[in-house]
Amino acid sequence: MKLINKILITFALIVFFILSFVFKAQAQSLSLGIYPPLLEVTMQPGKSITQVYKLYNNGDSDLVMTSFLAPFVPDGDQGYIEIRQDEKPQSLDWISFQNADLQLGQSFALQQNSSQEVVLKIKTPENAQEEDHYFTLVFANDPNYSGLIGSNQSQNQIQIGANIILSISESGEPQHQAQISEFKLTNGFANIFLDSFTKPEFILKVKNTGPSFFKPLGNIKIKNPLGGTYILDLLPENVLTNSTRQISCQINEEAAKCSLPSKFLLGYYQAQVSFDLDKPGEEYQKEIFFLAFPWKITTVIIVIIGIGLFTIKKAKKTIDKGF
Amino acid sequence: MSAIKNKFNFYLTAIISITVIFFLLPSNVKAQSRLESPNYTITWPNLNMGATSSASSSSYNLGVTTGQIAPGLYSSTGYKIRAGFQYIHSIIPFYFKLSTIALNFGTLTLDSLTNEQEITLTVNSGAAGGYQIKVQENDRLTSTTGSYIEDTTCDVTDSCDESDSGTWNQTSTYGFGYTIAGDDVPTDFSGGKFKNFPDEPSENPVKIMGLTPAGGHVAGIGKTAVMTARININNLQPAGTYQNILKFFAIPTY
Repeated sequence: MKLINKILITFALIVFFILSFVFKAQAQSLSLGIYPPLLEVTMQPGKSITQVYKLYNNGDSDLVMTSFLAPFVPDGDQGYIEIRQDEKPQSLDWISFQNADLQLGQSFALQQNSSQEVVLKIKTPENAQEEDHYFTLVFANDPNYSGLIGSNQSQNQIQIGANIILSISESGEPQHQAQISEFKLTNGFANIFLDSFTKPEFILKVKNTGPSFFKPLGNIKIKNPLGGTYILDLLPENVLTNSTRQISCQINEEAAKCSLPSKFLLGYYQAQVSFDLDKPGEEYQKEIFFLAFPWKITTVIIVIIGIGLFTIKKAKKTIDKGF
Repeated sequence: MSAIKNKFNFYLTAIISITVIFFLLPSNVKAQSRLESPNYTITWPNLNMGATSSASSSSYNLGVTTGQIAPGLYSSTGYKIRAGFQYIHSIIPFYFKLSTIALNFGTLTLDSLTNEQEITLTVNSGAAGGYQIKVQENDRLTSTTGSYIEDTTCDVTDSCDESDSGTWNQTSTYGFGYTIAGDDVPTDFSGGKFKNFPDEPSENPVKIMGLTPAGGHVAGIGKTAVMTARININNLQPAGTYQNILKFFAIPTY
């Protein structure tokens, strides 16, 4: 009897252990954080810098992590990127980890609710050309997980990245060159005719035709028919070489669409964008105009009047026929 | 002899009790990971930023430089560094969370659209100006014997692949695919349309969430979307356990 009890207890414990493990495995979440999300470095050939990155595991499972560095290229004009993991430019060799116990690409443990500091070192060779290099530093969890053996499943992996923009320059003021590829009113008919009750929204696209990245610093000035001016400050966003970027605005120190907050506009308006590269100025300019008129309500009124006149005319005819 | 037996039983009971209590107790002692007031939220209180070790050269040490450095300093130090986005005054990390470590489909039902698993994706762009989440699979769902569950191509009347979405309403449509709904999800998933996962290395990861300032993104606001992955097989599918790896790429904008 005692033996049966012992067997039962042992069996219950084993079942309990397995169930605890399986349910815990199913409920486990994955959460990674990284800071800083962006690093911009301008440096002379032959110099070196270091930057501390902090990687966080905010999930409820201990992880085995690994890291890699890959070049990226802009993907579209919104600031998205495409990582080119299969490309191995020589500049990748300039970057390493300076941690005593961790190398780039080496696996390391990252316990739940803990963080890992990584010291990234960039050392450029003396003969480095004056040009830009764009990388993404990626940390990924090891998805090899045997908690649910025997089940049809997809294991999940997070790869979290932080972008590095590196510009090699002897002087510290690399040559910049830009082109306004597009500046227009987006929500007006034929980009000119705007309804008075519609907030005008502008699109500004800037192309980098020079050898190094820059930020356009400037604004969009909108002048109303009475001479008043409203200013939308441009958001200092990076435009990388050989790419075009749509530039947003900042309103009350927050990133925002380039849109005028006015509730009613009427008449002829001028909008002028002006900016310089990496410094405030008006080196680059473009001007457009638009006409604001209550087109929609006017159309509705005309239609109503038309229907009314038609109805009156028809009624008049009927009355005339009746007599 | 009886005393030894009693002692043995006492120790056995004690060990069993301790083991049971150990498993019944909450498994984790949680560190404080969030500070908040009505005006701010800091999800990572131990920041350790701005230390002199943040940036250095052989001759100089420099903290995180968030603005333009003084003229002339460049020629002395040989570098300029900016960490983070110039227009975001925050040191909150960019973070990404998946609600589960694996999508467990269990035993699959034939000719059925009910073999589905959900996963919640949560992003807080923190100090990043914008973000994108992309997904890719390492391979099709593969059994230990080398059989595959193919990626779905959706219904014949409205087909799909890894980049174009389509409808999946027919139980006679087979394969593995997904749909996603929530914040900052591409519009082609609207109406519950499906795609299949791009396979590495020949197919690039595809965007499933993302927003930039030009699209109306505001830094620091949490975003959530729910992905539903679906498998449907018929009786011709070789028996076995099918597995693969889904890779979620969380990348800030530049």
